[in-house]
Amino acid sequence: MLKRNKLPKPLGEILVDKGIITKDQLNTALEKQAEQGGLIGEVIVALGFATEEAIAQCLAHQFGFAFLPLENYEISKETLALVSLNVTEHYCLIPLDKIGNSLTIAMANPLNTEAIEDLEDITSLEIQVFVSTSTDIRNAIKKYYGQ
Amino acid sequence: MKLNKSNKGRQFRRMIRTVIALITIMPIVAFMYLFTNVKNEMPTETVLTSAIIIFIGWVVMLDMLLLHMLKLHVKSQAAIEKMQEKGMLEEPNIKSGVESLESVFTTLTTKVKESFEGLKEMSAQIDTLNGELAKKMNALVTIMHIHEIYTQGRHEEEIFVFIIDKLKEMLKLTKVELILENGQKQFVPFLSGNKEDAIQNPFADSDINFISELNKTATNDNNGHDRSLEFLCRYMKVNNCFVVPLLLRDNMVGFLAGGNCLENFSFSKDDISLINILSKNIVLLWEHKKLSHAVAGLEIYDPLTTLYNRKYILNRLDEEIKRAVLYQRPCGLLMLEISNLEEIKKSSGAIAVEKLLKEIATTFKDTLRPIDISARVEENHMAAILIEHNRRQCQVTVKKVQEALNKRFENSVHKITFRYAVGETPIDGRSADELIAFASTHLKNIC
Repeated sequence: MLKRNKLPKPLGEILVDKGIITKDQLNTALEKQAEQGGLIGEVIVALGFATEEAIAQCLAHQFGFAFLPLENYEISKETLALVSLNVTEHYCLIPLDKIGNSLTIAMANPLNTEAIEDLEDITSLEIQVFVSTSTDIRNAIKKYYGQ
Repeated sequence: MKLNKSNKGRQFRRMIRTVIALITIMPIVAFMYLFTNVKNEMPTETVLTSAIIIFIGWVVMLDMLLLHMLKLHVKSQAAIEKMQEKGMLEEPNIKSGVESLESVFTTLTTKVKESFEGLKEMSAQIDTLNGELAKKMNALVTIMHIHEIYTQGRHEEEIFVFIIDKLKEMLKLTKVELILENGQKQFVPFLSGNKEDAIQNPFADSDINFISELNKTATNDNNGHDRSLEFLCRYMKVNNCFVVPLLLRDNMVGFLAGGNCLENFSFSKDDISLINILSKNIVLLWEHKKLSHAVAGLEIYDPLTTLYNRKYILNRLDEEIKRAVLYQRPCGLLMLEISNLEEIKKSSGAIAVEKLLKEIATTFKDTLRPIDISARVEENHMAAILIEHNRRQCQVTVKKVQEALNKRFENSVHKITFRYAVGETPIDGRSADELIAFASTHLKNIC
């Protein structure tokens, strides 16, 4: 179920509230982010404070999305053709299936409303979002788009 | 002479006697008048006494007068005799006078001839001076013209062509070559509008070194044959030539050379001065060109609208796209075209168009968010980076801009038509160039 709301609070604080990382770890991650840039979730994973899966599941649970591991998922060429490689790489998402007027996608940040709007504009379909880890999505992109 | 003299003396004496006779009669006449008219009223004795007194007085006075006249006469006679003795009163010798007149006339004629020759020489000198003056005036006018066309903002290369043409004309040269360093330590001929035909690196390093070591203009002409300049004469296919290094703070940035095939030709001091002045002008223009390019590279604003310029927005767009990729965010680009700007320019003039562009730019910028980056990317195109805006959000901004522009110009004397386009990373391009190209080809009228 797509909820087009901005995060009520930053992701790092949600992770602290959920007990996935500590306050000190968050501060360290924020300092690292300030130095090197990047998304806070990716920085926390890079620092080893949490796994991608834990963060993805936390987000899914918090905002009511379904978590979907992509390892054994098969995607048809027709579905892949709906979204260009540029868009999938840029927003870290991948189309999974087209059923009727609806396109199911997996993305690492389900709250990126601009990305979902773009998909709606490109495909003229209603978008259904599943959450997956960045690594799974990038691997799937490589696998299906030949990268 | 003596005859004349005695005749004159007799005539003088006769005249004196006549005067005395006349003067002597006058008292007798006066006495007769008194005797006849006044004797009845006066006693006869009184009349006689008066007549005698008058007569005696008259005689005394006459005597004194006559004596004085005689003295004068004697003095004048003596003076005449003296003059005769000195030959001062001899008759002039007419023959010798004519001869002397002839000699004077001959002398005068000679003098006039000499003066005429002198005048002819002077006239020739004046002609030469006029020629030199005209040459100097021409040089001065040329230099002033160079500065004038420079201040008009003409392209440096256009001014180089003008200088080359003027040098040819003023120094009677058939060939003038301007060789400039091309930024890669290569000296290539400057040929306006025909650069593809230019011979790349036509000179050996030793030739370039030779020229760079010259500290003044070197010539090869009737005044002196310099074998070291033969390579230039061969290159330009001329018999007489000059070369001057173009030095900018002791570094050679090129050289100016020229020549002709005239016989007995030599470069004058004035010619060399002119070459030096023009070569210095070329160096100044060359430096200006380099500095202008450097400054243009540093400029980030469009001078008319004060929006950013194309170069800046392209750089910023690339940066914003990188940021968008890193944070998985969209990056929007809005492009605005003033479609009928050229028509407005033709009908209302450049000043009206400039004013219009300023107003459009202000309205455009004011409608955007403060974080958005607006620029003038072409004569009649403006663009804005809409940070973290996807296509849908960009369309909303287009509507706002359109409304603002329509409102601003609803009562304008100019009927302006606008076209809009939006592009977005990642959908429409992944670099600034791709995004700009996409937007430029997707401009639409939005009603």
